[in-house]
Amino acid sequence: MSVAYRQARQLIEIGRDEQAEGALRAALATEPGDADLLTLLAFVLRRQRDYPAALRAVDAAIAAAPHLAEAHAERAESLMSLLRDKDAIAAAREAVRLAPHDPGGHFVLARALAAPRRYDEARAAAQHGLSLAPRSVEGLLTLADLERDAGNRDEAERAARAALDLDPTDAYGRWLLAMLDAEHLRVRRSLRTLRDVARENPARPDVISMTWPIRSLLSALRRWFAVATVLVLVAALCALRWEAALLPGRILAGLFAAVVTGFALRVLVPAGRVPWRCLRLAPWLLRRATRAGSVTVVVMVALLLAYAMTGLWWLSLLAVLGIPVLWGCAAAEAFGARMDDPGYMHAMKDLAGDFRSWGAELGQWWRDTRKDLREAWKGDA
Amino acid sequence: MDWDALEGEFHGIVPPRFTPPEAPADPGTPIRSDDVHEPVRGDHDRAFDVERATITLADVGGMEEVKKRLDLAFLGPLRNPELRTLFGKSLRGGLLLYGPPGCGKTFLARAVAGEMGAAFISLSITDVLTMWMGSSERNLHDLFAAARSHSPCVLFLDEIDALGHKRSQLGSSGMRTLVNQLLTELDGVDGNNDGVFVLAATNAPWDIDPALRRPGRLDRTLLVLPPDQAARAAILEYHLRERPIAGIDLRKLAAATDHYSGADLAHVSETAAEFAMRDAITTGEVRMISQQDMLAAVKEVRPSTDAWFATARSVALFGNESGEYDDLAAYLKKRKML
Repeated sequence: MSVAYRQARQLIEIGRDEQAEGALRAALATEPGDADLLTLLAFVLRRQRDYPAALRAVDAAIAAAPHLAEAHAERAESLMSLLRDKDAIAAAREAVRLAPHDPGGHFVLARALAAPRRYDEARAAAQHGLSLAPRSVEGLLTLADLERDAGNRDEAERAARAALDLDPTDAYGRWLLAMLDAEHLRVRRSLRTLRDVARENPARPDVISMTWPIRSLLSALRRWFAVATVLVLVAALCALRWEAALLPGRILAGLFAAVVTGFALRVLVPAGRVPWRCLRLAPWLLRRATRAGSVTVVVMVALLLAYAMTGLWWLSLLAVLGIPVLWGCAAAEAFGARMDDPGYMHAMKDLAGDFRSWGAELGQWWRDTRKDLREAWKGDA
Repeated sequence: MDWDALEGEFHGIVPPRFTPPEAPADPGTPIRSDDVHEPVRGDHDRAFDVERATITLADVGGMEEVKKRLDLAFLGPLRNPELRTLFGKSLRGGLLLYGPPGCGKTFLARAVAGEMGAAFISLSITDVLTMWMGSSERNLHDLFAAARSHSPCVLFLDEIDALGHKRSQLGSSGMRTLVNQLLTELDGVDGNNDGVFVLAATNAPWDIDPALRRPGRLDRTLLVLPPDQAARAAILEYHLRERPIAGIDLRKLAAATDHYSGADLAHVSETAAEFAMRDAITTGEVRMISQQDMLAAVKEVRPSTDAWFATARSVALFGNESGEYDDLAAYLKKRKML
């Protein structure tokens, strides 16, 4: 291990990624084919979220040393960040093939397989890695992560707690438990843990996660509240023809409004001010979409209550008109939450580029086809 | 084009507008950096330069609030031993300067050493990197021994977040051991620290191991913010003093560069000079750096402190339960960032 490599590693440990990158680039100026330095450079660039540059660096490492398993594993990580799941799986498999006794490669493979939801294979890879290193915190957290994605909350919690037994200060493990608590609606405990993690790393708080009470509430309401509102409108329209349907319709509207309000209070009151304060720090699109969605829900609930009290059918129609607004905010929110993820934005740009190419090809095909058809028509004539 | 001849034509005809006097500095003159280095001698000094700072707080333009706090928290008790004894205050403990990069923390530390008439030893990130490679605990001990042997001495630990990083975030046992050694040295376990005044500076106080902030160690903090308007004018004047300028309104420039660090202001001056030089090369006629050049440079050079304050906002929100960043929170509230 060269001096430059060790120094760079130590700079990375204290969070000086830019300086580590500088040191590595300076060392690579004299030793451009050093695969270890290139792999570490890729790691540092990935930490700085410059995924395309990380991929270029690790490709250079592999070109210099095709049998370096660590380089293939790092390549898989970069590809995962760029949402290129198939390529990531291939790279991770290569890492495992080159170093079958290295548990790290198996954990990378597990993460790569979990991304396209191949959970059974991912689980097998993670467990194989854990059989090689049973006390690996990384392995246990990888397993916890994929079980959570697969919807197996109890298994996820078991694995996360096992990891924290080994390293109680692991920030990611604590975050994972907090999110599992969130899924169980243990609001206060979840936010307390997220706040503790943020307090210990105050320069790098996960503000988006801390907005989960608001966003989860909106996510749940988007589905069943939309259906409920439509039901109320149907009942209101039926009541125009059969007066007997009016009272049940009004009761239904009042009931739904009360349930939404109760559920919102159940989630938001124990959460306190933290989610709202964190929303102010979130990316602008996410912030605006979440606020707009919240306002829309409030307006829809108010309209349902007004219908319940007055029986004026057009109030329920106005409430239904809020549904597309709610769904539009959902799309904006989903995009906004990923806006500060450079890998996601890069993947979107690639996708947009692909669409433009297909569009251009389609356009060219149509022009050629039209020309051929015209010529054929003239020939026949 | 004979540039040498052209330069010769202008020599002595049009002096820079803000040429400082050649005589020794009076209080209130712009910033100078003319530290005198003592030659290294003997085993104690083999790794570290011992300097004698000749700048004082009077040489620091503006920043009156910071200077006042330095005086009250650090220099005043040093200069008044009777008052210190009366109120039972000890000289133990150090001072941590924190704030955005490029705002003069290192310069202030040298000025403090100059005020005290003390020797000055500084440790930077380069020295720390060297320490990590070699026998780090021994090197750190030697550093403190050098400071003790040159007392009164100001020992300045620059970028202390590197040397004293949170041990819980360090994977390498060697690096954790170095932090332990630093704590031992600050406690004066292996040597008497009387006459050794520890100053530290960092852009990331939140990354420092909490044990370093306990009483008797770096238990006093001072937030060093970007220079105020008076300081900005002084810094711009300093960076323009040897350039051909005409019609520069320092007051307006200082007003237009709120939140700029000292390094940003140096960059602004450099950029304005480039604009004028580019014109000179294109037209073949030398011209002065004008107010327009400076304003155009201000538009081009954005303040580098914004990123730091964005991080600081998160810290003030999530990491201030003990109140250690109250002054930072107050400043952010004033700037409507909190």
